[in-house]
Formats: sequence, C-alpha cells, structure tokens
Amino acid sequence: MESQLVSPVKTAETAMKHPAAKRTAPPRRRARAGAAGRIGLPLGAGVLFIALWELKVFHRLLNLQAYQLPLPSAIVRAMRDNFDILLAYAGYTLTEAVLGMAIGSAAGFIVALAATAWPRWGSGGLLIAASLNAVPIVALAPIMNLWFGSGMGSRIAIVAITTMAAMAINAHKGMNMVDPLALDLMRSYAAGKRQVFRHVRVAGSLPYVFTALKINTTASMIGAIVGEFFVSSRGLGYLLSNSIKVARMPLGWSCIVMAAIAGVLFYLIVERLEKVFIRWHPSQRT
Amino acid sequence: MPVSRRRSRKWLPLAAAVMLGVLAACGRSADSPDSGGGAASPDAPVKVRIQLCWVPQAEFAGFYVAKAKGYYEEEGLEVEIVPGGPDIVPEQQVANGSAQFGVNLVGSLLSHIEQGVPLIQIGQVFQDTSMVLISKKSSGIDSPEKFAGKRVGNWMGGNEYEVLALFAKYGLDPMRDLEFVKQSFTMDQFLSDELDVATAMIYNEYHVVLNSGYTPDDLNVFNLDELGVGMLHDNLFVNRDWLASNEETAVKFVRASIKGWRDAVNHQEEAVGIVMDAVEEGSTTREHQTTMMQEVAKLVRPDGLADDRILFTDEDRFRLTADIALQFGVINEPADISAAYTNDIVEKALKGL
Repeated sequence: MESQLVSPVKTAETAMKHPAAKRTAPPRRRARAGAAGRIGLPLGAGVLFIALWELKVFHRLLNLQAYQLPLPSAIVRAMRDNFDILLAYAGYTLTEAVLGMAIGSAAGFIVALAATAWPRWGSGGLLIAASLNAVPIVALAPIMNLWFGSGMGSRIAIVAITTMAAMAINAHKGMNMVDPLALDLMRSYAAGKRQVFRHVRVAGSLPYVFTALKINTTASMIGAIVGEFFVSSRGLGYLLSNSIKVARMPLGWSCIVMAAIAGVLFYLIVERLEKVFIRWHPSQRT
Repeated sequence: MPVSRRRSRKWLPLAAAVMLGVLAACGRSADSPDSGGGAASPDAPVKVRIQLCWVPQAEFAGFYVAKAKGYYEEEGLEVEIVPGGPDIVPEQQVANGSAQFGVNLVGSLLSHIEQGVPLIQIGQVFQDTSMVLISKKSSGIDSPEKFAGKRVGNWMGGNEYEVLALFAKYGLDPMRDLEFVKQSFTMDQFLSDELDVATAMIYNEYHVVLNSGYTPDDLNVFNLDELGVGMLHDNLFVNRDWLASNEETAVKFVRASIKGWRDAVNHQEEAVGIVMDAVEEGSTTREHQTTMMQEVAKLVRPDGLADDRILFTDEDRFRLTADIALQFGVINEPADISAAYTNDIVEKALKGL
C-alpha cells in the first residue's frame, strides 16, 4: 500500500529566475574588468609619477637641481650606455646575496633545530643568532674583510650573519607551534622523538621557513650592497658608492634600479618555490 | 552603542598626537646647510669653512699655517678647516653649501662640472702631479705593458682617472686585461703582495713604503707625467653661485692662504710643528710629516717658480689635464677651460700683499 505521506514532487524543467534578481555581467567578463583595474591603476600611477619626475615637478617642489636628482631620461641613458657592466655587477651582487642567504638560512635553521630538540641548551643559540643580527654592517664589514679577504667571501659572510636570525626565530616558532593533538597522535603511534621531528615539527615549520626566506631575500640584497660599499672592487654597491663620489648620479641611480629589479626577481622566485613546497597549507589554497 | 565605534574614537586623538610629535621632531632636526659667507655685523669676522680632501697632514700645510699665524684673522675671516676622509667628497660639500672652499683633484673637479655641479677653480695648490704607481723590482713589472694579468690597485672615488688614462693609453681593459682593485688607504696590500702595482702619493704613501724596509732601488716608480697621463691634483675651488656674491671674502681667503703657503714652503720646520698640532693623535709621526712637507713644498713651488706664482693656475697645464681627461674618458665633452678656472681671485689677492 502506498504511503499517503509520499507524494510525487514536481520539479521545474527550466531554470526559474527570481523576480528580484538583477541582470549581472557574466562571470568571466567581470574577472577581466577586475584584472584590468588591478594592473591598470598602479601602472597608470607609476607612469604619472615618472612623467612628473621628468617634467621636474619634484625638483621644483623640493628645490633640487638636476645634478642632485637626475631625470628619468638621464637614468635610462646611463643604463643603456653601461648595460653590460650593470648586468655583470648585478649578477655578482646577486650571487653574493643568494649564497649568503643560503648559508645564513641553513645556519639559522640548524640553530632553531637545536633549540627545539634540546630546549635547555639550545635556546642560547637563538640568543646568539639574535645578537649577531644586531651587529651593524658597518662593524661587520672590516672584520669579515680581515677574515675572508676582499673577494666575494667577505660579503657572503656579512649576508650570512644578517640573515641567520630571521630564519632561526621563524623556524623555531614553526617547530614549536604544533597542534598538541598531532603530538598526541604521534605518541599514540609510539613514534620516537626523531620521527616526531621529521613528520610533525619540520614539516609544520615549512610555512614559517618560507616566511623567513622571503624576509631574507630583501635583507640579503641590502647586506650584499652595503657590504660592497665598504670593501669591494666590483658589484652594484661598489659602483653605486663610486658613482656618487664622482657625481655620476645617473649611473648611481641605474645601480639602484638594477638592485631593485634583482631584489624583486629574487623575492618572486622564492614566492614561487613557496607555492611548490607548501601546496598543502591553507594560505596557498585560498 | 556598538563596541567598534567606541574603539575608533579612542585611537584617533592618539594617532593625531603621534603625528604632531613626528612633525615637530622633523621640523627641529632640519638645519640649514648654509652656514657661512655672511657676517652678523660689519665688525664680526666672516665665518667660512674649507673642506679638505683627506685627514690633516702636511699636504694642507699652507692653510694650517695661515690659520695658526693669524693671517685669516687679519683679513677678518674666521676659518674652520674641516678634515676629509674616505667617504667625504669635497665637491659635494661645496656645492651644497656645507663648506665655502674645497680642496681636491682637478680631474674630479672637471667630472663634477660636466655633471652640472656649479663649481669653479680659483687656485692651483699643486703645480705638478703628485700620484705615482709603484711596483716591486722583484715582480719584474717595469713597464705599463706588463700590467696585463696583474692586480693593480687604486683608491677609486675620483682618484682612478689617471690610472684609467694609463690603461687606455696602453690598450689595457680594466675589466678584462687586468684586475683593477680598490686599494685600502694603508699600503699593507702592496707590502704583502696582495697587489702587484699600487697607487701612491709621492708625498705620502711612497714614503710609507720606503719606511717599511724598501729602498728606492727596490721599487719601480711610474711617473704619470712622464707617461703622458699626469693630471693636475690639489686645487682650491668654490661654488660659482656663492662666488658671485662673495668675491671679496674669496679674495681675502686666498690672500691669507698665499701667505700661509709661502711661510710653509720657506719655513718648513715651523710648518711641520703647526701641522703636528692639528693631526689626530697617533695617526702620524713628525718624521713622516717632515718628509711630506718637503715633497709638498716641491709641488706647491716647483723649482723655478717664483713665490708670487703660488696658487696660480697655469693655463697650459690645466688645458693638458682637460685634454687628457677628455681623451681617456674622464669627461665626455671637451671642458670649457675659461669657465672651469679663474686666476682673477689670485691676482686680486696679490694686489693686497
């Protein structure tokens, strides 16, 4: 016997539009308009800024002469005339920054590992890393020059020291910021300390490690360039400081532009690596 | 009342207070760079500053002597002699008004003038080039051609022009054919063979090397004048715009400086005593300054130059420097000689002596 409670439900064959629904643009076109605004507006602002600079509006506002603040056209000309040396020196400085950051980050990670594995003895390492970070590059440069000679080695050492602390502190945080439930689960699996480390702590610290790496990309460029100010015969920092001394300001500004481009590229590469390595993290999935 | 509205009211006055504090601090810390060239009253001495290109030493003896013996005071000037250093560029200090007078190399001056910096030379302190390249005889580098593949040092920052000119003359590319290295201001790199060829000032670093156990026979000295790339060195320059309204001050300064240099050249021991009072403790010895004074005297008043030609700029030598600068890439356009230097101030100064 058919239940009287069940009755066939009629469903509409065609989609019904709610009377109050407004006409909206199809989603793809809306996304394109959004992208144009996102890129177009900053681009337009940048072009306007450069136009004002070229027309000497800032010179008039800040009461500057052309030899104190070169015009964009002069900077572009200097970049074009000296492109091969700028490129070579940019590569030189970037090498110092990358190698120094690699060594410094590795050292910082090991310090964080030690501090997490043996909290009683290892936490002193964190303090040392942080105090090294506080030493100004002005003081580091001559000492590193004495220890490592006047080649790339001294600048790599400077960059390594200045990038150690960010990695140590971030990685340490990451290794300790584990879900207690995860630790309980590992304990229920009878996992040893080393396995806990490998599967929970180190893997969980990766988001923090990449944050520190991104911070270090900028710090490493600064460290490499400032280190070259003091002792170097090559590199963007050397060319920048030398250009200022002989009033070749457009060349100095070209160095600044090259350094900015190199720094941004470096940052973008690390960001790309981050997307690859921590695809599982919520920050990469939203 | 919703919680958010109450919160926003609280931070607004705090933010305003912080802004005011920042603006007040900025306003107070901005000090005007123009600190000389004008007198408070007709009788008060005119305060001027001269920016040297290195630390106090006999290289600048004439100025120190003029100050110590009161020559500047006689002219109604209160002169502050500002020592230089590795990162101080006298041309920039004079251009922005921090100093009224500056001393540096002519090659650097020409480069700055080409970049649009409004400077003009009013006196030539050193009449010959003072820079040489030295190598050890044991290295076998006895001619510029042999620089290829070697490490050549220079302090850079405006000192490298003559060496670059030498490279260009002998077809050496500083980036490919040899290693052109920034030299520190001690001669350790040369003494320890880290550098094969080093730059030295004939009155300073050359004697440092001689004092480190080398005799002149152990060294090859490359005289840049003889090699045809020598440029004039220490000169006295001012900001052109400042000069236009302060010519009298400039004339008085130059007059007193000429007197100071004459005394320094003719009474060297006294000058060394005055310089030793001005040097930094422990930075040098009396012997070193005595040797420096002897060499500097030869540069300020070379053999055959009369006393009243001290600080004069020789047009032919200046033109030669400008030509070398153009030929070897120090400057890209021919320099306007008549605008780059003037002997007017020195001539007016001599009239009062």
